[in-house]
Amino acid sequence: MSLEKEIEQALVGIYEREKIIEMVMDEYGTKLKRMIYSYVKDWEVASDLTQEVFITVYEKLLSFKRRSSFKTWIYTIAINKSKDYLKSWHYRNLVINEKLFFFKQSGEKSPEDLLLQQDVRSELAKAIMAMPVKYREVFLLHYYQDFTYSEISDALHIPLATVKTRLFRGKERCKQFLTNERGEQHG
Amino acid sequence: MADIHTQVKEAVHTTVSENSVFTELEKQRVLRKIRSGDTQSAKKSNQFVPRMLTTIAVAGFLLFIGGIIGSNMESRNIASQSDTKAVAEKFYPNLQYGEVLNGWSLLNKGPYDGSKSEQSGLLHAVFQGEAQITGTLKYYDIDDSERPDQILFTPDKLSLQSLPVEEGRHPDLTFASNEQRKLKAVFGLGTNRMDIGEVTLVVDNYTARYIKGKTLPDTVGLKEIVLPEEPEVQSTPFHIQVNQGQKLELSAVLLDRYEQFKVTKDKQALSGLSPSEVFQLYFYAEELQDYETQYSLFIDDEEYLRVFETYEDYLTAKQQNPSTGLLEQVKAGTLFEHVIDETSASVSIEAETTGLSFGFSKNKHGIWCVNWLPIQ
Repeated sequence: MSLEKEIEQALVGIYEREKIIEMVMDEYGTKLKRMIYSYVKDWEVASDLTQEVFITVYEKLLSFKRRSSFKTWIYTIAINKSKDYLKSWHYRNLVINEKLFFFKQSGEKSPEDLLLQQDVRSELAKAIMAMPVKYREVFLLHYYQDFTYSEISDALHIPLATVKTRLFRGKERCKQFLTNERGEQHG
Repeated sequence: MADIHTQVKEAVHTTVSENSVFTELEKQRVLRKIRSGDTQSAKKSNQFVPRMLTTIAVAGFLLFIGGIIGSNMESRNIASQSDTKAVAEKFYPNLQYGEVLNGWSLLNKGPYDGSKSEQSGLLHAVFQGEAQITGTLKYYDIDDSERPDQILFTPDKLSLQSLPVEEGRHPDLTFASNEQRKLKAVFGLGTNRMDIGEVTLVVDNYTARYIKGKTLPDTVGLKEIVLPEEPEVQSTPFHIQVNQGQKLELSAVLLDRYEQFKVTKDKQALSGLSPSEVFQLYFYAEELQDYETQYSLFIDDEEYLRVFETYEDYLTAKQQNPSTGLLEQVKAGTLFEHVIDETSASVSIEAETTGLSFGFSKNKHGIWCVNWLPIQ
């Protein structure tokens, strides 16, 4: 049985809410933290918001109507929290230093990091992070979190056609770092 | 050629920061907030003040409704949970949240059911604390059927007293993958199955794990690898004498010892000599091609493996591989005597581009002798 199904069964009522939250944190903790970071670009904020997501899930668990899958629901909460943060007074008054590194902070640089920067994968990561949020979120949900177009449409409350367009635009922005795309270009 | 999904995942994973992992500590923070009922405090008031008021009202309502529905659901399931609870109560039976065991404070305890199917029935107890522990680091190579490319740490008995371990348990410990990578790099692990004893680590964030019928390692956070201090080695420079013909010479006192030893081959004749003095005797014998006396300078206690069983073997080897080059290096090089500890020493022969080390050991009578294959 997949963990997703196991969680959904747990929601039916054989576990206490606290146990469900533990399972959910084990399954989605790191995935959500990484996704939230892709919006807020600050690990400390990503950590706080991820914790808030789980507290919200705990609070709203019993009102989860199962209109969408649990995965889509929890990602929607995380995306909304990330966007709320980006709209917040606190964020707008920060001097945002756009870091081109995807995940590694400058203080973490090691000799291997310097090599990594030249690596095409690192270039791809930089290109993803340099995309506008509206393309980046669709791109990462699809290619990193394996969401279907329809799941993205549900999570972001945007039409399916918009998902496809944004995905196409996102792919355009980093095609020079995608091996297939390069191959197609030159071949 | 990899598809875009794979490429994007590789890009993220390659450049991923250690901060990107949702840690046990973050998880415990969430659970603490839930248990304390202080879930709203997680929000930063300066970020969401207007939104918070609405959220508090909504969350309060949901909690109220949730509480009613939850209590109904929980009462339906009391029977199914009672077995798990009975087992859980035997796990750290006398320890409650916040209580301390061997300096570690219990953060959470209980069943861990269902998060992964193979972990069904798993009990865990999470502790906050820190300890310096010593034990054996075990690396299981990539071909190991049970733990391929994994590291376990077996703490020694004394270290168990500084870990939150119940009496009678002696668990192995394991680490997060990034910490295992660090251990591999520091101890040069990663190829063959290997055990390294007397390893000292500073650990925190302890999670004890139990599942009926299985032996599970507990997990710890690796805070620091305590490397052994390099022994303080006394280094003393010394010189050897050469005459006008560039032949090695001994002082009168050393020459007297040499003559005694040459006749008797009794190690007592070397009593009280330093490693650097025995070194001079060895190369004086080399200069004279007095290989029999030179052979007698090697350590001959029973526990040492004799590389050349007899003088004849040694002589044959010498004749086949004359080591005149080494004697010339000794004459031309800068010499230092290093007493490593009570029973081992070396002489370093340092030239402009090369450096050699010549080893000595004390025999059971406290006399410095030349090691077999001394240049090794």
